[in-house]
Amino acid sequence: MSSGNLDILTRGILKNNPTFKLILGLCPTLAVTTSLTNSFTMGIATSFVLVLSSIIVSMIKGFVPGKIRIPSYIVVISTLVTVVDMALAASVPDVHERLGIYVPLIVVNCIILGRAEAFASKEKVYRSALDGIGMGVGFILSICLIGIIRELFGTGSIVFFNQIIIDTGITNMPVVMILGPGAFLTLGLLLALFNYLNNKNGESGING
Amino acid sequence: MKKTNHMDGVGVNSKDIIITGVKLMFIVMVSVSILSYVNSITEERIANIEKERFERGLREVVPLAYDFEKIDENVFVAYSKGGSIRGKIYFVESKGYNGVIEMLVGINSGGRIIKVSVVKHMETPGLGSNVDDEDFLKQFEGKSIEQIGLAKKGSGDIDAISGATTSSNAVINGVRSAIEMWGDDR
Repeated sequence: MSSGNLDILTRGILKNNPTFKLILGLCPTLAVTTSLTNSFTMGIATSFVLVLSSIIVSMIKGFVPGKIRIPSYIVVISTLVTVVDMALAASVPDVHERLGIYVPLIVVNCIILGRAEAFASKEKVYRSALDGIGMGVGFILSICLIGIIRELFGTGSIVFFNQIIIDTGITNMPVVMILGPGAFLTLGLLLALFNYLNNKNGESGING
Repeated sequence: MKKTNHMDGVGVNSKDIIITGVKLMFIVMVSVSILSYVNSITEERIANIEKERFERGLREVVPLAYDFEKIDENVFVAYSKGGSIRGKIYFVESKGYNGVIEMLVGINSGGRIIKVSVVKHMETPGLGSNVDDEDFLKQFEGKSIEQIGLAKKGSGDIDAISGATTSSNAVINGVRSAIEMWGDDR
């Protein structure tokens, strides 16, 4: 199944969106989308690791025996995450502090291992990089969408890195939206919407 | 006799196992070298940033302090420029909703809170993470031990963060323990 480079780059955004079509990496999707800022920083950090791990996994695919590929990929991913963590702590301590436990959590994001296993381990380096970028952008857009909905309905305003973007002035918003149940409700409704739109266009639904 | 089947990994020979093991070891060794290299160039900077942040934190709970002296593990005395004691600072830990909340509590000579700051926590983002919010921590200023408790339980004057009673309580317990330590020290 060979596809064009442009298709590899763009399919992560809609056709194979990691959150709404592949249903991968739901742990951070549910846990950190309490605000747009958190979603965005998590998305950027995850995408950075995703692109690099796709490139490295693709580079070492000839060297790694099939039986130990999963442990090898985990070592690659956790090394990258630890390097990112230390580099952030030493260079931009304020951003590092804001990200907190999200950075180590990137290791267990199954989008990264999923793309390593399903794509990068079989494809050329530049195609794997394109796939990583596309999936990363798809992930950022998805969790930012969830973050916007939860923050808007949970707090009545959207604050992006201390800049007020939207302020409805309503103070008695349902706090449940930024609690755990709000994450499930938002994700469930968005999944339903995405599937409805897909069915209307005659495409297949969830293929995760 | 069992047939060798490489597809699902049964019946592999010992040479395969050794090659696989050596390769995995090699990958891990490369990983460890990269990590120790990155650690060696970032370690000192991270330690400095943390020390700086800690001293900034001390100054935060006793504003206008000129100098600090460590008199015990987790206990500091803050001096004014003239050398008089402005207050004592206690570094306390309290169990939150998610792990431990570390905080600094500045206490004046009358046993009242000067200021409280949360140094480190792992509370739920968006809810318990508001324990380091200025509006919440401001409530402690000038209060004595009898006033430090949850207002909605009638045990004090502190309003909990909405949706995060456990985290709010953890801060209250930490501050109370600091005042108790202050009482024991006198």
